[in-house]
Amino acid sequence: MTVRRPRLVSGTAIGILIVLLFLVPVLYVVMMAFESPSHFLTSPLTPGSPDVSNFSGSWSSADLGVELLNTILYSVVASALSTLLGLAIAFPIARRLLRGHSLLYTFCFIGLFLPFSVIPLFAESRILDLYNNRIGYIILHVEPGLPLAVVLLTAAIVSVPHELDEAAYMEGAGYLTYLRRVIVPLIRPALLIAFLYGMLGVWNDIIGPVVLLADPSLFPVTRGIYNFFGSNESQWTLLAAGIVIASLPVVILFAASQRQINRASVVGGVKG
Amino acid sequence: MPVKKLRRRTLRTAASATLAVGLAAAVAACSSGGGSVASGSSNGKISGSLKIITWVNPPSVNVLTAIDKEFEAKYPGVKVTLQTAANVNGPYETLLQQSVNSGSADIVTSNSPFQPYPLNPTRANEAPIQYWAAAGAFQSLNGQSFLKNYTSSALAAESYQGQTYGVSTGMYQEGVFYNKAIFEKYHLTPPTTYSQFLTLCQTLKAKGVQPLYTALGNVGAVYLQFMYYEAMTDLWYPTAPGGNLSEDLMKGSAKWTDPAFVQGMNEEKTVAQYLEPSYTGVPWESMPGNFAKGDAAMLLDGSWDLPSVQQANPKIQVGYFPLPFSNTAADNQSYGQNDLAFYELKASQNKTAANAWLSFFSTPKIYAQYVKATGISPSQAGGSYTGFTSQAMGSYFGKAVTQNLLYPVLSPDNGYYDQQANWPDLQLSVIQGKMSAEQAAQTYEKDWKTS
Amino acid sequence: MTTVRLGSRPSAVAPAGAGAAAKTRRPRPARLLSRGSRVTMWACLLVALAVYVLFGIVPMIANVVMSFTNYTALPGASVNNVGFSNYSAMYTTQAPGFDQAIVATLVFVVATTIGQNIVGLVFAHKLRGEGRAAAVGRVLVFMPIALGVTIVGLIWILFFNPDQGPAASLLGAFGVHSAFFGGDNWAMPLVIFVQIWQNAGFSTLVFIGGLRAINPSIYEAAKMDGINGWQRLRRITFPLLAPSVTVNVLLAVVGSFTTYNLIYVLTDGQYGTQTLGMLAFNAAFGSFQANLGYGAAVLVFLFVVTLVVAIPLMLLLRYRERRLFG
Repeated sequence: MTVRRPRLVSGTAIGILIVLLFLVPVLYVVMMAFESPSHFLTSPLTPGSPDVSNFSGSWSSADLGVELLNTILYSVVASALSTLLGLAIAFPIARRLLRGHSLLYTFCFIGLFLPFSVIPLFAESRILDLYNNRIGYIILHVEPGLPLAVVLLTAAIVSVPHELDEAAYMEGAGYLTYLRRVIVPLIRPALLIAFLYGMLGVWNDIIGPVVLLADPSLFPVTRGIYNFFGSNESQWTLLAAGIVIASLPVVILFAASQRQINRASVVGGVKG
Repeated sequence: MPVKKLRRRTLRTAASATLAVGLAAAVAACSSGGGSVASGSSNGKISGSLKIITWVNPPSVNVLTAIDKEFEAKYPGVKVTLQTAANVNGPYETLLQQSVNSGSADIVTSNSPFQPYPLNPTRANEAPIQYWAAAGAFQSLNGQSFLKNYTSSALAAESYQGQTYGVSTGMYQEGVFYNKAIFEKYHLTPPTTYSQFLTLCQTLKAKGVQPLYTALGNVGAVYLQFMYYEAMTDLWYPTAPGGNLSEDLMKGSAKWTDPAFVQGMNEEKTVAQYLEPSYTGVPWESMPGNFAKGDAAMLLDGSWDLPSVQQANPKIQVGYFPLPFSNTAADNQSYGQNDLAFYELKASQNKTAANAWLSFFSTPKIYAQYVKATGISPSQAGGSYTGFTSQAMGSYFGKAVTQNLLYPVLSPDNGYYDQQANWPDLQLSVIQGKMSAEQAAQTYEKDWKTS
Repeated sequence: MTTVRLGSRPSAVAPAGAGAAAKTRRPRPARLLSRGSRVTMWACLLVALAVYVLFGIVPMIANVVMSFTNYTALPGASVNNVGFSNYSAMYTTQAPGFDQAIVATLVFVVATTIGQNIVGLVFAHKLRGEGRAAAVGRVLVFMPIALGVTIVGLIWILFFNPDQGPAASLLGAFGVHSAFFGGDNWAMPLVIFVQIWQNAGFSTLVFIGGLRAINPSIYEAAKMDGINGWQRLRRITFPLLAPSVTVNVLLAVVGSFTTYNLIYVLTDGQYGTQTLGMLAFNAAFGSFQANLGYGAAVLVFLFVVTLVVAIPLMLLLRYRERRLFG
């Protein structure tokens, strides 16, 4: 049963605004991707006859396929790890399973304000041999998502009744099994937000690839796409095609998982 | 609802499958990622991998890629990788810094030659490239036979404290490139004095033609140098007693408050009126293409963009003249800057191949390829060079007042360099009327540190 | 008119039959778990903490140490203590001025935080439904996040190309010319716009969740009292969204303080858009920086400023939450 929305501003007006703001710029880039370079040079605003050569050109010259896979790999794995590790810290804090749990919470909370210190991380990566390889890059990107995961998950777990813990204990369930079977399904919204936030951090990192990776086959899309932009204008149609290619999988994935996100986005009882 | 449940389970399975695949790929790829740099060559034999980094300038990148292939054909055991980053004034600098610090490239490029300033270099006031050279990041090339092919001024520009570090590819010249067809249409001839130039611009404007075109978007005010370096060359440089204005500025015998410099800035302001509106926001990569399709009669740019102009419009006929800020025709010389030079990192693990590559590049035949493709004014003597750029520039090609004789400050960072004279934003303020030329000159002088 | 009070937290419900004493019974902490479980718990906890310390805390400490030296990351180069000279250099830097950076940061943080929250709230209202239109809307609004900062930046650079881009042509029809990202007037507002555009989806998502958690019967009761739309928003919806507001405001503030990637792509900090985050980035990586100690000093400063601003803010928000929820 839906609640009547407060009618402050016309719902239709907002709908139109959303379409204009979010669809039009993207459509412009898509249109550019289908223009031939010479046509773009002379009349960039009108769509010419569709030219798909930009896509093949873009794909091969930027090695976008590999970069896309890299991007997805890094973001998903690093973020999953930070969410899980965040859970490992959040549960003992939320259930007060150790002395000094609030001190630990504050300790992790400060992490929200830590900037991504690339230079020291670079030095560390050389020492720990995490430099210029995939696993190293992922590991170096786990920490940024950790503090928020701790904060959100602690709040979410606090809302889960203790009785479930006790019931599990009486049934003899192990720690990890309990977490997996009972806690995780109940705190899914918070898990999702933490995961998304962590993913964004890795996805949008433009300095990481330059500092922590040297081998072009390891580059994520942020590194590769920006390379295009230094070239002259006749390559911008290639750039547009590259943008379309790079974002298509993500958009499709996101659209397909709408249901999941729908169900999981009840953040309601999240208290900081 | 069973359908909903099925979808959810499918999605969940898909998600965990992706995760599993991802982890597996990560493990598998861990070994292929490689934490090390080029594998070395065995004694004397040239093999292994060679990594060169540079910035994106399409003609240069294209010809280097071609040269790399020829090199690989000559030495089948070597694989050359050319890695690029977008813009020489932005992302490439980050890449360069990273490569030097981590030793992850064999040959790096840079377009800031060495200058013999500051007069008393210390750790605190050296330019980064001087610091890197002095600290041993670059391999000294003294004694390499291929250096003989280069002119002494080219070698001097790439030497510091007695060691030669860089192989200079030449010099680019800045100035006005004009569309010959438009000039013919309105019966115009290239101006040799300032007043002739203004008349020319006014004539074009009266006919509804955009006179002058340039673009600063994405790169900022640094390329206002097309104007103020030229103004200094035409108005101030002739007055320098020893023919070295930068040395005079460093020693204090010339001051930024010199009337010639103030006059130059005022003239700059007048000239800027003839630029297209919103030139500060037009992306600078679009300059060559826009000029090529006839958006303006004249392009204020550096000769590095000419190949792109030709590529955008193969039929265009281009001419060149240095922007004349003086009414004494003989003073209006072309301004040039030493450009891309190759440096070899000491941390390189394949110096044999790197030296072989530099030697290969320096052979006159290969070098001529580079000159022809990029239009750079050559750093080797005695060759004959043909190409779109040398044709366009005619007798001006290769003759220029270079930066080290003109303007002593280099990179806009660290205490010594962090002074207003390094910040072309002040030039922009003068042009846009936010401050007077006298005020700008006084700020430069007040802020001027020579050590 | 009273603000809504929800009483005790919605979750701690006593099991049936446990009696009155059950409500105050404290769970016995560690004894809840078996020995083996406790070991697992500690193991997982310590691994997570190790990652946090090793890759979060240690680098920050390294930053602090580095900020007092002239470290250059060049292998084999000497590292010397330079005292506070990096900090004073930060203050006197011309490039552009430090005070300008602070002003720019203030404008940027306030504008994007308020903007993102308002936009998030408005969109959340519109897009919270179950229908297909709402789902499509959600995909659209969330798309910028999925695209990533590089692509978002490039899309808007292309769109605001002063030379024949769509925006330029539209304005040109009215005879208006602008350098957009290349001029002092519009660079910052446009950057703020793109930042909000990029992050609106996240705020919307959080608010949608918050809206869904509100019990519809409250609105029924309010309707019977005859409250109109605006009052409903102010007195009921907004207070009930306090937890979501806390999350959104805090993330927006911290995020906009430290962010640099979008600004880097759009303007590289020129024309008045150099915020502290951008200054920190440029200090470490802009144009041939050899003195990384300076970059570290700016990062340390940024960290301190973020703490100083965000902690009181957070305390304020939590206090508000506690007042509303008892």
